[in-house]
Parts: sequence; structure tokens; C-alpha cells
Amino acid sequence: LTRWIIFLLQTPSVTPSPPLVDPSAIPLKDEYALIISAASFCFAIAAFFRASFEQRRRIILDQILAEISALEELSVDIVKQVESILLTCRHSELSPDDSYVATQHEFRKAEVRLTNLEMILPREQDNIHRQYVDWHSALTHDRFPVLKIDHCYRISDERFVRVALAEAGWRRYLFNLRLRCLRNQIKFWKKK
Amino acid sequence: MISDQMRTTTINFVQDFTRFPGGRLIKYGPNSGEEFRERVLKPALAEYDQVTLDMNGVLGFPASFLDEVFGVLAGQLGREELKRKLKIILDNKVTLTEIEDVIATHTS
Repeated sequence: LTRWIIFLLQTPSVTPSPPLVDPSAIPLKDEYALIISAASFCFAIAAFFRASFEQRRRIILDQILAEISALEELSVDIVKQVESILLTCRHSELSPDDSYVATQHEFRKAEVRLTNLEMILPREQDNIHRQYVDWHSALTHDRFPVLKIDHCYRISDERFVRVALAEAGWRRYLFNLRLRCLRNQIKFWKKK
Repeated sequence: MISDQMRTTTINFVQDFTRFPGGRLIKYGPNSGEEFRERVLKPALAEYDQVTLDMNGVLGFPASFLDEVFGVLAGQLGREELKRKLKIILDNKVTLTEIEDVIATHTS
């Protein structure tokens, strides 16, 4: 027992050492809280920008689709009028002159839509313009408006094929443009 | 005495010709491209060093009309000569592209 007591007395006492960290440092639990707060903040900011981007994308997309739809409807009307004039030298009950003026008005309406679409889609501007010009040239090629009954087309006239092909090409282009706009983001629509 | 001053003139399409251009040839109907080229544009180009053609105010131009006027003229005068002597004022980009197309087609 004596020896045991001496052993205990000789063993240095272990006193708790002070922590090595700076007393002003944030405790570990608070560090985690800070990181989580910062991450939440970043997520909130990202969500805000995402929502804002989506909202902008939606607005621009609606404009694009509205212009494309209007152009498609006008294209159908114009082709009907042009074919009617080519076949009968006039459109419905109108005189040849009035038929011409009425159809030119429709072309002007389409060109206003075209300008709008080109402004919203600057990256596609050249393509849209080119496709429209090709379509317009095909429809007004030869001698539109035909003013003399002798020069009207026959129903089997192969020149109608040119009108039909141009129309199919123009409508296919508008359809593909609509699809591409639906698939892509704003950065696709903007010019680099 | 030879004058160094350039002789210029301006043609207003609506006032000097028509608001409703027709088709390609005179035989197809009134206000044709052939009529405009022979009666209005060619004499002006022959008489003046530079001709300004104001085509605004027209509802639209048939492709055949443009081809007959500018395409045939470019074939006769040459592309550079036509561009040098003729200045076109037109807001409609579609028609301007069609004019460039017909000039390129007839001179290529």
C-alpha cells in the first residue's frame, strides 16, 4: 500500500490544457450554420434569376409564336388569293385591279409581321428574310397580277407547281423555326 | 465648255409612273416593267449622270416587274454601270433583296 501511495504521488497530475484555437474564433457548430445560410442564400438568388429568366423566355417565346402563327395564317390567305387571280384573273368578286390591290395589302401585312419576327429573332434574321423573299418571288413571278383572261393559268398549268413548292418550303421553314424556338433558350434567339 | 458638274435627276415612281405596278411585258397589261424601263428609266439614265429612283409609296412589286426593269437593264448596261448611275430609295427590304437578286441573276 505504501509503495502504491508513493507511485501515485510521483505521477504528475494531468491538468486540462487550454484549447489551441483562437478564443475569438467561431465555434464549429456556428461555422456549419454559416455555410448552410450562405448556400441557402445562393440557392435563393439562383432561383430568383432562374424564375426571372424563365419569365423573360416565356414572354419572348409567346411573341415569337404569335408572329409565326400570324405569318402562317396570312400565307394561306395570300396563296389562295394568288392562285385565284392566276386562274380567273381576279379574286372572288373583285375586279382585276382591286384583286391586285387586295393581295398587295395582304403581302404588306405579312411584311410587317416579318419585320417584327426579324427584330425578335436577330440571329435568324437573314434566314427568315431569305425564305420570305423566295416565297414572295415565286408567288409574284411571271406576270402576277394577270390582267387578261387569255394569260390566265389553266388548272393543270405546271407553273402552279412553282407556287406550291414555294409555299411548302416557306411553311416548312416556319414550322421548323417554331420547333427550334420551343427547344432553345433566349441565348439562341439573341445575336452573338 | 465642259461642265464638271454631275447631272442628276429624281424619279418618283408613284408620281411619274403608277402606284400599282403590273406584270412583265406591255402585252400582258398596263403599268408593266417593260413600259417603265423603256418609257421612264432608260431615257433618264441616258440623259443624266445619276438617277435617283424613289420607289416608296407602292404597295408591292411583282417579281416579274422587277426582273423586267432591273434585271434586263443590268444585262444591257452592266452591273457596275447600273449601280453607279442608279440610286434606289426604298424602305421595303424584301423588294430591295429581290432587285439585288434579279441584277445578280442577269449579270452572273
